[in-house]
Amino acid sequence: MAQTTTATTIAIPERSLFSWNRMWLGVGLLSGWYILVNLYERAFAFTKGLDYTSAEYQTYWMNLLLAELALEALAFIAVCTWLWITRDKNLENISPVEELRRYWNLGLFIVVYTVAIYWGASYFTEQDGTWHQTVIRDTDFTPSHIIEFYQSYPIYIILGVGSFMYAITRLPMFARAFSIPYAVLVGSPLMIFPNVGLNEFGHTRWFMEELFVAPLHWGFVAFGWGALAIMGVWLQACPRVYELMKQVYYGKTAASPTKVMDEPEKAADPIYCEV
Amino acid sequence: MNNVTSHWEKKIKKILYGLAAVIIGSSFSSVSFAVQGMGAKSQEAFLRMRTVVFYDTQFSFAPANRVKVGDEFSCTGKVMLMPTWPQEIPFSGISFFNFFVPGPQVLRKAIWVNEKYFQFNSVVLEKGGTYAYKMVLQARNPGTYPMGPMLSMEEAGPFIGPEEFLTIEGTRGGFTNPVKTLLGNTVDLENYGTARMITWTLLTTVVGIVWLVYWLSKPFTRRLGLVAAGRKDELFNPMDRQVCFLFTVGTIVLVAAAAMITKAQYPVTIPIQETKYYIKPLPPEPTLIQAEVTDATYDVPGRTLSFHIQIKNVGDKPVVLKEFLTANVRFLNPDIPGNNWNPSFPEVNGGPMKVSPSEPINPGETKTVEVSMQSAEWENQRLTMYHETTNRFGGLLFFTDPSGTRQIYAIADQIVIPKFGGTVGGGM
Repeated sequence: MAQTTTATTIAIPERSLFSWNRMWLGVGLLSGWYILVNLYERAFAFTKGLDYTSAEYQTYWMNLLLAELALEALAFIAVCTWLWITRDKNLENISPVEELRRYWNLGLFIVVYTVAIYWGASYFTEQDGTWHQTVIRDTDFTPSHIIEFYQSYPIYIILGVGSFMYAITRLPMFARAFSIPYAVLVGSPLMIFPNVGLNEFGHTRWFMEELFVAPLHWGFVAFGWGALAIMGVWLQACPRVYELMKQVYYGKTAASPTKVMDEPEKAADPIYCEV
Repeated sequence: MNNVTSHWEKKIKKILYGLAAVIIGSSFSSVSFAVQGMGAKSQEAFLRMRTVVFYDTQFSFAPANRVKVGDEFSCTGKVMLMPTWPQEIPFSGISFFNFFVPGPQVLRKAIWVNEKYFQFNSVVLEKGGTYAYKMVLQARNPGTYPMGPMLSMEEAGPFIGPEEFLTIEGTRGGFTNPVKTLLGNTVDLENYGTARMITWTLLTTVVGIVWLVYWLSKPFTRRLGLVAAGRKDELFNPMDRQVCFLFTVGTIVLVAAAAMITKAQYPVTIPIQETKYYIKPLPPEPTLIQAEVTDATYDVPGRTLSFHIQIKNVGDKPVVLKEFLTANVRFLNPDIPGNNWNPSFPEVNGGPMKVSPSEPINPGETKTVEVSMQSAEWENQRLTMYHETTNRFGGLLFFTDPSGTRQIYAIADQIVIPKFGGTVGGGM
């Protein structure tokens, strides 16, 4: 028989548990970093980054490429490993307040992921279009690509996969069942990165013009649309969040974490949004 | 302990300020490209050798390569679209004669293709066709920049001609770009419409920001709580409805008013023109020879491209092979008197082209000659065909007779067998 928990004994949690500070910190660090990156591009893209075969190009751009790829691989492994090692092994007994707080953290995580996608798939991608209009097509490793493809895309991938790892290691609803919307939200923009390989192969082998609507670029758009799966993620999470809020703040009963882990699809029933 | 922390804080601050100063300082200092070109040699060899070949290119600023801001200069030359186009590169023929330079450092004032004047339109070109162009340009921003002619083809992308470095002297202040409109007004394209563009951009941005601030300033978590408490109807009050109405109607009125104001201020407009012009290729040059390349090899350790060509002289004067040109690299036959390298040539000097036997081909005679070019430029310019997915090369051979009559023979699709040398082991 499924367990239920009554909320009458639970005190109203401190507001500080639901602070925006981590999100602002993440968005601030990310945006501050990209502003610095943009200044670097303005200083050295045109002056040192036009001729792949020059020594300066190797110094200012290829070294940056190698460094960022290495750091990104390490960061990816570190984030996933840390989230896995520190996972909650006692999810069945998680308190409603703690579960609610983790949903809050997940929301903040996804906001930062969204901002990272904006920087990569919007700002730096638009910038790359401008680069192609201004400078002839050069190599797979133009200064613009070194920032766009090989820095901003991996960074949002790390954040996306990180948020997914956070959900499956800390939230009962996502711990045992596989959320397809969440997999699409993270996996679809992730696939833009391998699509870069196809894109560069195509530009090398077939030499499509750098026209944004060229069929070779359709993969970027289709995989980008996958980010709309965020609607599905919220649709799954919201009923449980409201159920927890009703328990924590209004003393109504909510399904226990054990029941949620056994039957996550029931916890995602929109009926819990009704009051 | 505090002193130590404070010391490190100061040190870190100092490093960060220094770094920021360097980056920001270099962002706004004048740029110089004197060390490197546009990097065209990074493009695939088969793309540069077998598609479009630029020749007879001349810049009016050579050999001084210095002009002042506002000075006009010209670039003239010819391009041949190779008769056998690589299958892996799309050919649409819809092309735009362009001028490459990193950023808007010069203005393109006018262009003629086969003596027909163009300013905006694309042209339709044919495979195997030769086209003469003349571009008139004007120096705009001070600095040193690589620049040269370029042909942009729809679907296929940009094809790059030879480049020169031009130093533009002076200051930008006072530079204007006056254009007379069809109504007889003169406008300066340097700033025409800029204020209007900035004003509307700011205005519409402010509308968006106000909308976001209105909604995002409402407490987010408390609103979630209202839903959980069953009071979701309270989320949207009469004031919110009025704001929504104001924004909906307001933006529609704003856009309609903007359209009416613009129409009133500019009553006469014409649509953007899409017309493409078909350009008839130049008539073929006099026929001196008939030729066929029979085989070609690239000696990897020796950096030597060699091929045999069977030549039949169909003219009435002796003919010699004077030059080979591919991917903006020229190889000259030193056995022809006066056939020397001119420093004002914008192409890369590939070195000597050895032709054996070196004697002229007499009228009616058919002879097979070996053409051999040993040069480090095959590597420097990344024209090493053995790295490519198609080991084929192309280029133009220039034949001439004693009267100076010239015939160009295009090698468009010749397979190349690489020779790796005896010391290179491994493999099958």
